[in-house]
Amino acid sequence: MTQVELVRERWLFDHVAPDVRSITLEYTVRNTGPDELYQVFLPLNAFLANLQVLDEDGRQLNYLPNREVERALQEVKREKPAAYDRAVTATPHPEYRISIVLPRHAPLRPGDMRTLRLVHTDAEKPKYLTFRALTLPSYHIAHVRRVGQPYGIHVAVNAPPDTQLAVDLDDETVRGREHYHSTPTDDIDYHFNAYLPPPGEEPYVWRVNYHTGPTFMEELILTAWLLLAAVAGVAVLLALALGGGSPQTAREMLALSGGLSATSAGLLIGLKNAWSSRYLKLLLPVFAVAAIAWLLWFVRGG
Amino acid sequence: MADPVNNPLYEAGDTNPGMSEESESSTAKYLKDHLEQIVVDTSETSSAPGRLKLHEKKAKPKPE
Repeated sequence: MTQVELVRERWLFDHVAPDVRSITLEYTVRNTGPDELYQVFLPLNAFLANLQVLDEDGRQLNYLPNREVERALQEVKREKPAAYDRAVTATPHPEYRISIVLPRHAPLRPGDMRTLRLVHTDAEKPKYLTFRALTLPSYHIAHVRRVGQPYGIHVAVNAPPDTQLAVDLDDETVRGREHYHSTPTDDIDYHFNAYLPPPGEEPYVWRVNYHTGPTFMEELILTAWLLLAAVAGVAVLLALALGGGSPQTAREMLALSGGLSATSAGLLIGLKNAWSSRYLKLLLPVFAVAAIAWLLWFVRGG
Repeated sequence: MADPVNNPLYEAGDTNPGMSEESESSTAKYLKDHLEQIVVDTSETSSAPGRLKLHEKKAKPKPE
């Protein structure tokens, strides 16, 4: 029988940029038994990349190497199969298991509570929304609440500065439950928050997709610019192919690249900080056209 | 060997400083011996890049 009661679970998703996020999985546990505990064993749903384990005082905690955990579990399975079943098989998501070592001078004493923070990053590359001119990374979160779990789960998503958060929520099976809360759609700007109550006798699933990006107007303007730049690029290539790099072509290219450069610079200056630095690279193709035009001008003696 | 009296790492009551309890509490043997006591019933939660198919019609469970 476990002595460690999970009091609260929190998932915090902090975005430094739309496609860079730090994930903090926070467990608050209480020792309900009579013995001091020096380790806490957590079955987890997935491997956590770049993992750092901290307690509520910010102390970095050790955890046992995977190989040692696996070896210990195999020994328990062999020597005490009933105990293994109760501790491991009973948790239906043992993709990854971690045993956190508490400081020797600060074990989890009877009745004490401790918060353990598992700070990590995504183990996969970002995935972007399809049919969008801009690169907008998307993410999902899914919670399956099983019967018998008496604790609530907090979820918080913080978008990077100067961006807007878009959330698509699937909470049909929990919406009507007491104490359930999620930030109303109209109030979502850069932050989203939800509280998932204990499931009681009825299990439920809560899922959400989200992405961060520019506002609707900013996205519209940037998309229009990208289309314009693409059309202009094709026009330049056509002019070059048909005109054979004549001084006339070079003059046209110069005029076009000059116009596009001015438009791009104006657009980027007008955008919010986060987006102007993210899309600064848009200027590169425009400058490349200008460079080719100058080269032609020089070679052909326009 | 470390001096248990003057070394702040050791607290009163340490019977065998430098060995046993300290080293054991941070080993796989401790995990093996106390697994049932220290396991936490965590939730089934996942988060990753990419989107899920949401709002699909769920089949109603059949009455038993």
